[in-house]
Amino acid sequence: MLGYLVNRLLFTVFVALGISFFAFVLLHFIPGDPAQLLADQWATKEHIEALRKQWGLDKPLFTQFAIFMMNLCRGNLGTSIASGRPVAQEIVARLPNTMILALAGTLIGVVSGLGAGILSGCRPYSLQDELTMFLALFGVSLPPFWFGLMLMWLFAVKWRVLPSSGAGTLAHLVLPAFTLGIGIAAVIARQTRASMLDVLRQPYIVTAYAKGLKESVVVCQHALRNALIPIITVTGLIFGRLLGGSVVVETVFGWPGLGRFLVEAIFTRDYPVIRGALLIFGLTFAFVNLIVDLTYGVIDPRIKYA
Amino acid sequence: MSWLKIVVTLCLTASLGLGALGEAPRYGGTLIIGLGTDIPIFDAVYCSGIPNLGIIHLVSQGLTVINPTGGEPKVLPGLAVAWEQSSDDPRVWIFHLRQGVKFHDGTPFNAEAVKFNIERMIDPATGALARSSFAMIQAVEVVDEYTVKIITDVPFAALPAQLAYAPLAMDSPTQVQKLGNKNYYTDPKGTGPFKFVHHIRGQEVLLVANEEYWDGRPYLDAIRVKPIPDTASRLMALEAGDIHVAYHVPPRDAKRYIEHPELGITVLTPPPQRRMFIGLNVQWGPFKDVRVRQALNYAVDKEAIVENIFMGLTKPMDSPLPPTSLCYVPAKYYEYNPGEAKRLLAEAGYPDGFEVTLYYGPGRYLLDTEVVEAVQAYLAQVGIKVKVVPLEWAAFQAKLRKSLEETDVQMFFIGWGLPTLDPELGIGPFSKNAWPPGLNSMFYFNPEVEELIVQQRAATDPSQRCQIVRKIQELVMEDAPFIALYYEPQIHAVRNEVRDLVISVTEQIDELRIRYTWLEK
Repeated sequence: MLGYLVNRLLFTVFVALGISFFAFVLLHFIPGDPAQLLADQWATKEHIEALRKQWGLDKPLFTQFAIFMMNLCRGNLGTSIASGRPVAQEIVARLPNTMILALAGTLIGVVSGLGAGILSGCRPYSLQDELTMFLALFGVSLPPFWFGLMLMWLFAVKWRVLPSSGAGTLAHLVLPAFTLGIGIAAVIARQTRASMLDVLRQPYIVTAYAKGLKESVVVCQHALRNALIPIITVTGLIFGRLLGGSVVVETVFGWPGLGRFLVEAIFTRDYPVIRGALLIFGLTFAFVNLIVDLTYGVIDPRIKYA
Repeated sequence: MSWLKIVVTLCLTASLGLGALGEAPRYGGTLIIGLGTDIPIFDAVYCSGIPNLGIIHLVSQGLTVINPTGGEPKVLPGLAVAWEQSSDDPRVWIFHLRQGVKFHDGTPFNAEAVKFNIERMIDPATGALARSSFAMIQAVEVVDEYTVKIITDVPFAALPAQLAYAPLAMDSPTQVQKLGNKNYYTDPKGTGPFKFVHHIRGQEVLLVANEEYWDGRPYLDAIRVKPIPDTASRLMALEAGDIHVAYHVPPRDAKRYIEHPELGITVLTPPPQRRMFIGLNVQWGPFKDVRVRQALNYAVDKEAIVENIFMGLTKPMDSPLPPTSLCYVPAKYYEYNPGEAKRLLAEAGYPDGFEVTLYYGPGRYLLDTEVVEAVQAYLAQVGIKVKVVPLEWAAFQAKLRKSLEETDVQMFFIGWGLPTLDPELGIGPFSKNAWPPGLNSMFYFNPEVEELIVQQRAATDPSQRCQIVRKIQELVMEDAPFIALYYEPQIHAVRNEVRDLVISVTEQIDELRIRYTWLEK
């Protein structure tokens, strides 16, 4: 088990390095110059060149990458061009917000999706099932941008029971978390239903009923555990992606998260921020995948990691 | 004049009248402003974006301030109360400073402070983003405690207006030296009506009233600035009452607010200063011929664009300067005349038109896609097939700033703001030394205009200067290095409980009037 963990962690480091290099190279092929974008309209050529030099952008690509790697080894992710703050500080200021939103959204999505999916799986083709699947289709197809704005209009403008945007209190979390949660619930509901249907037709389920067990026991103790693996995989992937920040929801609700910050950095070509944020996302995603894989071992005793 | 313009004018007059009805301002309340972006850094020297700088100016003020109405005099006293150009040496401007003013940390505001701040801006070691806009300043001399001499490299008529340009703000020298250039943003100390409290990244900036402000304690207790990037969200926040002020409201929503007073929102329309035009690369193919360029101007119906897309809230562009600028004259208006356009094209050798590519960066300017599509349609009518290529803003900028040898730009849609309302920055870019990487992506060059630009810069007599600038405007409009379209309207919205809020022609909240802004309840 320990060997497996060490292997995975080394692999994560390798992935992180790969992402850094890839991001670094790719960024410089995209047209756009932060010096031009930040300096004012009437900036002279000499001034723009001076700004580029100040930010280390005049050095050859390889030198820039070497500097970036050396700083990285010292735990320094560089300094934001737009704000002059250390990138690490900028990320730390926003990552918790993104995590809170991701957790809240996933929680809402998992609880409602799992519940709806289990019920549907147990009563396939019933009215409840058809209704749930129809709603799930709706949830998957609804663009979060539109849905978020609709929720905002209803709860913040028309009924004035919730704040329209920003962060700071639990009330601020409700609308963005629900907007995220509905989409997630839809995906998880469908996945759960499919998994449950698959498991419920297995011979050991028939045996369980034959033993005289109650439906709730059969479902919760026998069927669900076996159905969980694909559901956990999907949840893990969704959560990992959300940790990258749901840009659309963060933008619509003015949620101070990492996703929105990364997109803004891309628009202003704030290279240090883009590199740093992509590195963090990559590491976080790899880490979440590791947790998901380890969870398999907990749920399914047949899976062992050497 | 469209009905919308009439209603807006009536509303503005009514609200001014109501204000004058003697409702007494009350102290208290927190004004909440919704901005489109988070302020990148709370230091004017390193911050970009006029709305952001406008917030910073509530804390750190300017020596001079542009008249928010865009009327005369263009430049108003700020922390400098009077100024004159030396008669012996026109390179020297003498500024007389406001007395009895202190920075928020108690440091006195005086000539030494002015010298410190200007030197901080122009010193290359500082790395100020707007350094080259103040590069004409060679030296600053302290004459006495409240008198300062600013010496420019060549005589510079526009200096008082240039000092009002937002990136220059007076900060406490003590505090800058204490925290260092790069960290000053963490705890700025200015002379303004509001003091900086905190900046929670991505969430809010909090300012509180300066009890010892030189013009009296502001009515407001505090100001909160929240970034709400999405326009629809920002408007909903305004309608929900979560914010009091929203910038850059689309005309359709402005119309809704005016038609539905029960929503409790007032529309503000400060005068325009941004010139919106389709730049033409005058070194490329058909555009080398002035007749072709003029033809394009006759081919587009600007009145229709102004009436139908902008609901009559602005006027067509008839000068390279905006109507609010010093020395503006309505130099030449190309009325809609497709017949004349076709005739000119034929005369120039393009009876069947030609193909051309138009680049633009959608989302930057109000209703830009609608305007570009309208222009495309008008040009098609005279045989010009326009291929519209939208680009992400940074990519678009990169394209525009390519040199003549590298560029593939033929036409582009752009807006040029004029925050100083002065010809120096307004027509200065129509010269060869502004060729890319400068602003002049039209690669326009007229030796006569070039010479006149130099002359107007040094002119010491204002009326003589305006005569020179008049000639420049006429020449440029005649040369038509662009399709002159319109001046971008400024439309902002505030909740009715906000009283006496003035948004300037510069798009900033007026830093001198904010002290008088108050909240009804």
